[in-house]
Amino acid sequence: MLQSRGVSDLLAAEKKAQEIIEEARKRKNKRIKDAQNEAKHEIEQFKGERERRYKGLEQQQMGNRTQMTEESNKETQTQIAALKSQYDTNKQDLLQRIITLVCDIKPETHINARLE
Amino acid sequence: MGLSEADVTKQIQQMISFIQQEAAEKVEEIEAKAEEEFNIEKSRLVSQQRIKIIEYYDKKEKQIELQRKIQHSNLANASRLSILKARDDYVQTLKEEARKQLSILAQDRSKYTTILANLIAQGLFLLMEKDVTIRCRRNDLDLVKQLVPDAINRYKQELKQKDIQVNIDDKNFLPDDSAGGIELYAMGGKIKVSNTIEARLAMIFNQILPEIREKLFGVNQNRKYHD
Repeated sequence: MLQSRGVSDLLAAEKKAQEIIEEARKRKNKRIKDAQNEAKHEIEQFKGERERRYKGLEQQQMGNRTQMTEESNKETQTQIAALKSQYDTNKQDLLQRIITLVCDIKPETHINARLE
Repeated sequence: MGLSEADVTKQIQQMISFIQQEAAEKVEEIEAKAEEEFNIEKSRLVSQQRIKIIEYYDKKEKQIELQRKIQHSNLANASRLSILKARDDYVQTLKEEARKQLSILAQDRSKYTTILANLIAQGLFLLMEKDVTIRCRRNDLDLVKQLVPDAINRYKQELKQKDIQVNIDDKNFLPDDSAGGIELYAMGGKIKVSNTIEARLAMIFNQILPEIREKLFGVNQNRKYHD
């Protein structure tokens, strides 16, 4: 009579023990599943950072693009303007030389024909 | 006989405590393991994705750099090309200027006469043919007729035995807007000597192009050998 009460207490304790262990296991599995969500969250954050960084660089590049084009064009125009002044300075001398050469005509017999 | 009631109760109590203690320890163990595996799994997932993300963005950032380089190169090329075009334009302008001035020169009678005489003589020396036809501008026809006998004499003098007959074409002429000079034909038109002012200009202009370029654009810095 006493024994059966003692035994049932034991069985109850055993059962309770199993229950709390089972619950602990359930919590463990949930925790591991949480890992996925938290990981996802962290990754999203990281990705966001890199995306921002990239966009920043892209913007910078677009800005540079216009600046580069402007600078290049300006430089080109300067050089072309320099050409004009070079031309104007040297034009007369060159024309003189050309005309002199064109008018300087030397009628000569062929070197092999002269021995006749 | 046997244990008293109190002893039994006590023993059962002890056993219950033992069970509870064991359970608690087990739970603790499970929870520690849970944390550990949570961290491992989370790190694993995070670093796996991180690598991919880093690779992705590194590639994209490299693209930007590449675009920049391409643009720089394109700009340099375009610039170079427009400068070269401008240079060429100036060279052509010079040639045109020279042509204009030579046209005007043709109106200076005495200078033009000397030039024409020399052109005719030069043409004859070059051809060394028995039968030559000279073509000139309509306006120059009389002048040429005047100058031909002298030219023939020069020819005969230099070349001793050569006999020559020179005709002047009075049916076909050089265009009126040409700068002057003559064309000479032999062998029934099969041999042609173009001794016009324009032809001389073209020839001489080409020959002194290096000089022209140097005067207009400076010495070429990229050139290594000058001899």
